[in-house]
Amino acid sequence: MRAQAHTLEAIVSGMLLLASLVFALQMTAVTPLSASTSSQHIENQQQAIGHGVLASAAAEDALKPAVLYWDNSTAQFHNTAGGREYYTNGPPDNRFGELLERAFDRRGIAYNVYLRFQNTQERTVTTRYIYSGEPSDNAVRASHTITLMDDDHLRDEDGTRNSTRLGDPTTDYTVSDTGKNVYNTVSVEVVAWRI
Amino acid sequence: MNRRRNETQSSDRLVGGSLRSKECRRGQTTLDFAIGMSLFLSVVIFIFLFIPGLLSPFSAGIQEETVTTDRVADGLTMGMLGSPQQPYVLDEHCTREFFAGNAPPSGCGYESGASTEERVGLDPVRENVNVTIRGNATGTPAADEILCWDGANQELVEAGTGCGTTLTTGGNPPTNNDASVTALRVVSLNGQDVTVRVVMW
Repeated sequence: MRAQAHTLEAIVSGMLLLASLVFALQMTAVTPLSASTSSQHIENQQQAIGHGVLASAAAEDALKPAVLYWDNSTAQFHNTAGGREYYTNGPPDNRFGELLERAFDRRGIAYNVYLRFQNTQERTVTTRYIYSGEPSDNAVRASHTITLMDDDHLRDEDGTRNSTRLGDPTTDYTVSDTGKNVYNTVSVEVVAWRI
Repeated sequence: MNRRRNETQSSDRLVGGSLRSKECRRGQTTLDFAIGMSLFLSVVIFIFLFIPGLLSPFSAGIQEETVTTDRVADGLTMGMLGSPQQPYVLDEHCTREFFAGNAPPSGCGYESGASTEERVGLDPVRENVNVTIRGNATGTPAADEILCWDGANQELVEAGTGCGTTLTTGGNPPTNNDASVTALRVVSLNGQDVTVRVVMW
C-alpha cells in the first residue's frame, strides 16, 4: 500500500500541476498555439502582396487578358496539365503569371487563384484558375473585380487576341454568360498562405 | 520457569516475525518512489519549459513597430507615392522626389521634412525607418536588386554610381534580426512590378 501511495501521490501532484497550467492557458487570450501577433503581421504582408499583384496586373492591363487566356477548342486554359481546366503546376505563361511567380513563388508562398462570378441562376460560382492545394487555416484573400463584355476576344497561347468572342454561340468558356450586354462580372481572387 | 521461557521465546518469535513481514512489505517502495518521483519531476520540467512560451506574446518587444511599419507601407503604396484612387500603383514623379529627399510636389501626398521619418509622418526621435524599392531591372531571372530612377531615359535601372536617384532612403537597419520589422508591398512602378520594403527599428 505504501509503495503505490508514492506513485499515486506523484500522479496526483502532476495532474494538479497540469490542471493549473490548463487554467492559466484559459486565462490568456493569446497562447503560443493561437495565431499570434507576429503571424498576423505575416498574414497582413501576404494579403497586401496579393492586393499589390492584382492591382499591378490591372494597371498594366494584364489581368483581363490572363482571365481570357482560354483555349476554346479544348475548353480549358492554355497549356494546363493533366487534362484539367485550370493550372496545377505553377502559374500560366502570361504577364499575370509572371507577376504571381515573382511575388509569391520566389518567397515560398503558396497561392490559389479563383474566378468568382454569378451564373445564369444568379448563384455565386467559384472556379479555379490556379490551384496548388487546399489552403491552410491561416490563408489570406485578396480580390479584384473585372468586367467581361460580350465582344471581348479570347487570347491565343502567345497572348494575342484571336477572333473568338465571348458572346459567340460556339464559345465554351468557364465563366457563364448572364445574358445581358455585359457578359459577366468576375472577381479574381488570390488566396495565399505560408507553406 | 519453563513456561516463562516459552513466553519469551514466543514474544521473540513475534518480534522477529513482524520484522520479517515489514521487510517484505517494503519490498517495492524504492521502485515505486523512483517511478513517482520521475513522473513528478518530468511534469515539473515540462511546466517550467512551457510557461516562458506562454508569456512570450506579452513580453513587449517590437510590437509598436510591427503596426507602424505596416501603416507606413500602406500609406506609401496606397496614397503618398501614388493616388488613393489607384492603390499599389506608384507615380514616377512622386516616387523620385520622395527618394531624392525633396519637398512634395503638388499632387504628391507625402509630408515635407528633412528626414525620411518626417516625410512618412513619424517622429524621427523615436522611430527609425528605411524605405527601399527593389526589383528586377536587368532582365536576369530571379535577380532582385535595389533600383534607381534614370531621369534622362525615364526608366528604372539597377542602382550604381551616377545612375540617377537611387530608390532607397533612411538609415541602415540593424543587422540583428530581432531588432527590426519589415513590411513588404508589391506595387507597379513605370509598368514594372517592384517590391517596396519598409524596415523599422
